Amino acid sequence: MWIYEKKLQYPVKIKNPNPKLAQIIISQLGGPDGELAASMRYLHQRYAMPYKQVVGILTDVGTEELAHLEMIAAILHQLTRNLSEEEIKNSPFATYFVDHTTGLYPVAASGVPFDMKYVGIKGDVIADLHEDLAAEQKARVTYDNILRLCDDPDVRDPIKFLREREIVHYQRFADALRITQDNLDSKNFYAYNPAFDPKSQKT
Amino acid sequence: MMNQYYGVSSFSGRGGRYDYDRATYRRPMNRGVMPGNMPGCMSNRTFGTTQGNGACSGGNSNTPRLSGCGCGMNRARQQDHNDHRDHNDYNAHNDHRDHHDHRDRNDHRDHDCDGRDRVIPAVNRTNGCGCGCGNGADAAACKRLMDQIRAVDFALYETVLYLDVYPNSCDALETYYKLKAQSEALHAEYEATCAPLTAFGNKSDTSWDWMGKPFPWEYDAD
Repeated sequence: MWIYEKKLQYPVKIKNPNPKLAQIIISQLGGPDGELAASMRYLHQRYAMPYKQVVGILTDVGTEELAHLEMIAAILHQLTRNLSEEEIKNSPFATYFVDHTTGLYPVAASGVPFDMKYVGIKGDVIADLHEDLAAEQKARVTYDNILRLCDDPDVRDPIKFLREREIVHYQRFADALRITQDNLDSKNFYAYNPAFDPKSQKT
Repeated sequence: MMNQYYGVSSFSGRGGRYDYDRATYRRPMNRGVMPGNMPGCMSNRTFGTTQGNGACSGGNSNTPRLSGCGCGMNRARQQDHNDHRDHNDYNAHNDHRDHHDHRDRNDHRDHDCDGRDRVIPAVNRTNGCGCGCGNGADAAACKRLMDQIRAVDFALYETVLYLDVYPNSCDALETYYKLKAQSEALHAEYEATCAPLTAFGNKSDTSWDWMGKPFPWEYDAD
C-alpha cells in the first residue's frame, strides 16, 4: 500500500504566476510521456514480473513518479494562482479555464485528456523493460522541450531536477534489463517469457 | 563518502556509471542493448547467489584483483588497471580497512548481502530524539529542517533504487543504514517541532494536526 509523506521531493517556489507556461507544462501531468503515464506504467507492469529486482525497481520508481506528479501539480498550482480574468482571457490557458477553472485535470498541452493508451503493458519482461527505457527518454525529451520554452528560473529549477531523475531512472531500468538477461539463456533470450511460462518449461 | 556517487553522478561525465562491485567507472556501452550482444562474461553473471566472486567479496592484497564477474577469468579487467581511481577506491586493498575478505569484518552485522539471513538490532540503527522537546521552532527553522530532510531523503531513495537492482552490494547497504539514521533523526525533530510528516505522525493529545496548512504544493510551504 502507499503512505503519503507531506513534503515535495524537491522544493517548488514560483514567485510569478504564468498561465501560458502552465498550458505547456500540463503535458507532464496528463500527456503521453508525463508523470501520470509513467507511474501507471511502472506500477501496473510490476504485477507480472517474476524477478524481485525488477519488481523492486518498478515499485520504487513508480512511487517516485507519483511524487513527481505531485511536483508538477505544485508547479501548475503556483503558476495559476492569483490570476485576474484579464490575464486568463489573453492566454491559451483560457480554453482550459472554461472547463476546469484552476482545478488540475490531467490533459496534454493539446487539451487531449490523459489516456491509458499512452501506456504499454505487454506482460513480457523484455518488452516491458524496453517500454520503460523508451518512456524515460521520451519524458526527458519533453522536459528538454519545456526548458526550451521557459525562461523563469523558479520554474526551470524543479524542471531540471525532474529531467535529471528521468535519466537516472533510465539507468536503473537498464540495470534491470541486464539482470533479466542474466537470468535467461544467453543462447536464446526469447526461449520463453518468464512473466508467463511456468517454471517447469525453463531449461 | 558514498553519497557523492549517487544521484546525478550516476550519469557522470567521467565515462560512465560508478560500479560499486568493481569499484571503478564503467563505460555505459552495454546498457540497454539487445539481448545477445552481451559479452560472455557479463551474460554468465547471476545475482542472488553466494558465489565466490559475488558482489561482496573484497579479495585480498596478495592476489591480483579478480575480474569478479564469475566467468573464471583470473586477470583483472583492463580498465581496472588503467583507471587512475583504482588506488583511491573504496574497495581498494590499500585503504584503512583490513585486507581480508569483506565477510571477516567483525562488526555487528552478519552480511546478508551475500545471501545469508541476518537481523540488525534496531538500537544500532536509530538515534532520533523524538522526545518532543519542542523548543519552539519558528517558520525559518522548519524550512531549514525541511530542506535538510529533502536532501537526506533524496540520497536515501537513490540508495534504495540502487539496492533494488544490486541487492548484494554491502557498501550500498551500509550507506542505506547511515542515511536512514540521519533521516529518522531529522524526521523526528521536524515532527516534534513543526508538523506531522505522515498520517501516523500526529504528536498532540488534543489536536489533529495532520494535513494542516500550508499544503506541500502551496507557495508558502516549507
